[in-house]
Amino acid sequence: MADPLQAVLASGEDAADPRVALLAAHYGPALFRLARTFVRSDAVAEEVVQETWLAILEGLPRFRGECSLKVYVFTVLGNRARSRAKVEARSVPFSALGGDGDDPGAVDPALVHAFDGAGHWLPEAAPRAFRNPEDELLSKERLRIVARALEALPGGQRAAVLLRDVEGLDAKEACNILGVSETNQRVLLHRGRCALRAAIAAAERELP
Amino acid sequence: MKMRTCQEIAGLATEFAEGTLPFGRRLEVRLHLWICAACRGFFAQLHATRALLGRLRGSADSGDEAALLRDLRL
Repeated sequence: MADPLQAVLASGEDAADPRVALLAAHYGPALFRLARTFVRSDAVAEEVVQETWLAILEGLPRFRGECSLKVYVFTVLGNRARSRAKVEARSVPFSALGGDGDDPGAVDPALVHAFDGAGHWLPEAAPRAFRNPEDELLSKERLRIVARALEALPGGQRAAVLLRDVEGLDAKEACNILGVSETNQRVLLHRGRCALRAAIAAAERELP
Repeated sequence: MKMRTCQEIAGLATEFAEGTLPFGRRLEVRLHLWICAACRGFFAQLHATRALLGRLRGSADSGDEAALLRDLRL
């Protein structure tokens, strides 16, 4: 597939209802990215996004602004994606994924060898704040690294990071959309953030 | 009070940022960060990572959701 995001946008523009194109222009890439964390192929994710547009247009007359439109759109996507994931044989809920869930306070797997037996940082692993955070060239490099590492995260962690840190939703909203408990959401977020941090930290030495 | 290790403090980073830690633990983290440069570095890296992630936003946050809603309800 050439570019799934473009495909979603394009299919939105071809749809008979111009409101689908409008929705797709605002939320298409974000929804596709999130849908992809629930289901295992681009094609199914695109279908879920298409179903979401229709469900939104259908539900819009009853939408009273209890939450922002953005949260509403993501919530509809979450519901569609979860019921779709359930019928996909290989899909399991995020909370049940091995190593993706239930250990609050779990440390970044990349940090397993960063501590000595007493739980102190080993000298060579001790983190230091990223240098020159306002250097735009460096930031772009780090952005590229973090985007790639995000793609590689397990679905649940990726979904939590997308909702919280990329899209800026709050914890409660993310829990509803993901269909997980607050503790679970926090663990997914912690694991995800730690893995992304580790990816940047590992590349720091090679950055210009 | 038994001092928490760096490993434990690192494991509390997200709960600390979320504001979900009980008062006593929150204080422990603050005190630890005050004396431990490596953990400060770790927290700073996490903070910087989140700032970068915000730049990957995929939805167009139209300042005017009301206008979008009006268009959608035509």
